[in-house]
Amino acid sequence: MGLVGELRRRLTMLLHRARFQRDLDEEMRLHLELRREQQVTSGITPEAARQSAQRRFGNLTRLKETSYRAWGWDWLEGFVQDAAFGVRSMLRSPAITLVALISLAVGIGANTAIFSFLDAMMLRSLPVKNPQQLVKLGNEDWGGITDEFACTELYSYPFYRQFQRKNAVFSNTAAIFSMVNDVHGFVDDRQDSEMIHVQTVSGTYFQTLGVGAQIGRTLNDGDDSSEGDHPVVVISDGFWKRAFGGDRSVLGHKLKLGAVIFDVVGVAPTEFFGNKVGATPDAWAPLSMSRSLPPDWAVYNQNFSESLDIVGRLKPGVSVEQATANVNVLFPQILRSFPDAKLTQENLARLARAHVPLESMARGLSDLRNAYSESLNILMAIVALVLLIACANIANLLLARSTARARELALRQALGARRMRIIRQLLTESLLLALTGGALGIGFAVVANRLLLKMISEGSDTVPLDVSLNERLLVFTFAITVCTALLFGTLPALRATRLRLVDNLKSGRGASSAAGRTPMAKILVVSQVALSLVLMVGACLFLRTLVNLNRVDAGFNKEHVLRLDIDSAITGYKDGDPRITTLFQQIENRVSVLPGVQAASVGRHK
Amino acid sequence: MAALIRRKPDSDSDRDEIPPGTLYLLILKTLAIRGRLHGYEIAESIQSCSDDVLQVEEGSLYPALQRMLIKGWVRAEWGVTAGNRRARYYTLTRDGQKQLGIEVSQFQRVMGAISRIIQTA
Repeated sequence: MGLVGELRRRLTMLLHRARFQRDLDEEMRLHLELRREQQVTSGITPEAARQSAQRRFGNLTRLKETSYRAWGWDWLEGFVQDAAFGVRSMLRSPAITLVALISLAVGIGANTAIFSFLDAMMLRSLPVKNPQQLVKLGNEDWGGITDEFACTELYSYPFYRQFQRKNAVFSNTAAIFSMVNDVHGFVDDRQDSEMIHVQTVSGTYFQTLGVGAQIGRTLNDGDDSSEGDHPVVVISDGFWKRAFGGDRSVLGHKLKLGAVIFDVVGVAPTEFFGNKVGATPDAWAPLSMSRSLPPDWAVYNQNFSESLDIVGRLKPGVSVEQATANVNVLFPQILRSFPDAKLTQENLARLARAHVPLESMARGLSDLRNAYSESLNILMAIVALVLLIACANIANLLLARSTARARELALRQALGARRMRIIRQLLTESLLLALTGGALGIGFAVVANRLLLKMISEGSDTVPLDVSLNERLLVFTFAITVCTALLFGTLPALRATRLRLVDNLKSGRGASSAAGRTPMAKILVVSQVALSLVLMVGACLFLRTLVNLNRVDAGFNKEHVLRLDIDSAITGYKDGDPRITTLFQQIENRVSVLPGVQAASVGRHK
Repeated sequence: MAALIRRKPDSDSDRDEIPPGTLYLLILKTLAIRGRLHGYEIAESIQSCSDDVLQVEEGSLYPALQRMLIKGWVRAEWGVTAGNRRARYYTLTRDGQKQLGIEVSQFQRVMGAISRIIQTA
């Protein structure tokens, strides 16, 4: 009961307003009648009895209003009334409304679009179990292979195995190859190859992240127990739908990656995109298969081929500080224990200096975050400025309109409307304007997001970043919309209701236009121009930088040069196989004689 | 709190206003004694029980009753009067009985304090 019951009763009342008012009217009418009859029996005239009854009852209208207000819904009714009135008055000046809506849609849309990128890259948690328990060794997101001694960012597979056994602070640990293998592979016995992004991980990967499979199984430690004989993959939801059309009987299908045929043993959950924001692998294969998976990284047995990220799930009750201490005890101990450790003077000094920091994995790793976080923050500031300009712009428009409405507002005040009531009315109109603009802005943002994703993606391979609308985004948009409304609505509302009643009533529109350029309007215009100037200068500088970058002299004539990527891994030839050289010579010769080709050459990049 | 009784009708100038904040208490107590009443009966009952000393601005009963309905202290249902008229009857709920206890002790505390002050003076 208590508050819940009260709320329920209030809601019932809201839904049956008409019946409620009928009941109240009838009840009061009965009371008046009974009192009148009682007075009549005491011997006065019917008319006097009626008056006496009314006197004793009090002000009927006021009492009805008080009763009605007791239910606490008058604000809602007032709001609905104001909103309806607002719509009508907005439609009466369609030009102003249209301009205001466009400015708002652009301002709010740009903010929403940029924020959705910020959200996807920097704010959202990994879709895994208790992401806040996950930590990564090292605090920078490196990708690659190094043989540098005592590297604190990347680790070798044997180090990972030792660390997994010896550490006392993690309930689970996993190793993740710091790069994604882009393999041209074949699905089943299809003829056309397909680009498949394969992430190699330790067998404990899914278990550590706490992610199950939606079909089949995930990888397990057994898949990672000995090198080269566990050709299994778990595929992502996206790849499952793309390559297999979401077929439920996908298990047992094959992927031919390089020379080896892998069995599909499971499909990852829909929301799981891996551990790296902005890089969704198509498939996860055990690290034990590294050497068989183009480009054939030999990392499984090399003590000093450091290429793995190590992540761990903290045991309950273990703090990050405790974990850091434990990791830094084990780190030199394990490295020194490797028989091929080159314990030179320099390396020992390096080891003494090395400190392994732990970083939270709650939001995942991201190359994108590193590459774009600064630009995103700058962009966020810029779009906030754009919104400010829009606000100033609309405030000015509203000011102009309320000047035109001065007579109407003066009349309403003269009829007894309180100033607060009129301000509320004007603010409701602003809010309505902002909400409509916000809705348009969301539409704008959806389009802008698609364009932005294209911009940061190379070629046809769109960056797999989920920037679709979500709750957090809508809350953000709603919040900035309301703030915007307050920002552009308050000043004009205050200004419009501060009236010299008599002047305004007497001279109608005329007097106000004489006072048209008020100090506030001037300030608004000045600030608008100032902000726009800042943005213009910023945009020009930015453009110049872009143009200059395109003009950088690469040391060769870039005109009419085309590039073609060829993945030789699908031939199954190992690196250094003389047949690869022959193959490329043949390709070069054949391309050279194509009509329209002046010269052709082969280069190699990895 | 309830909007109270300022008016002194010329004919009834010997009657007194209800002390502020006691309207709920009076309604609750009246319903507790008399059971099931409609608005007019509540007003009459308050007046006659106080030997016509207390004068309620009768209309102010209704906003107060609405607030008490929201709080769940009273329940309302339509019935028929002795004169065969439709009327809304109010009865006390269990929450209302509890509230009556609270209001009574509160009132006694305040009145006790006031009368102590008066006596020392």
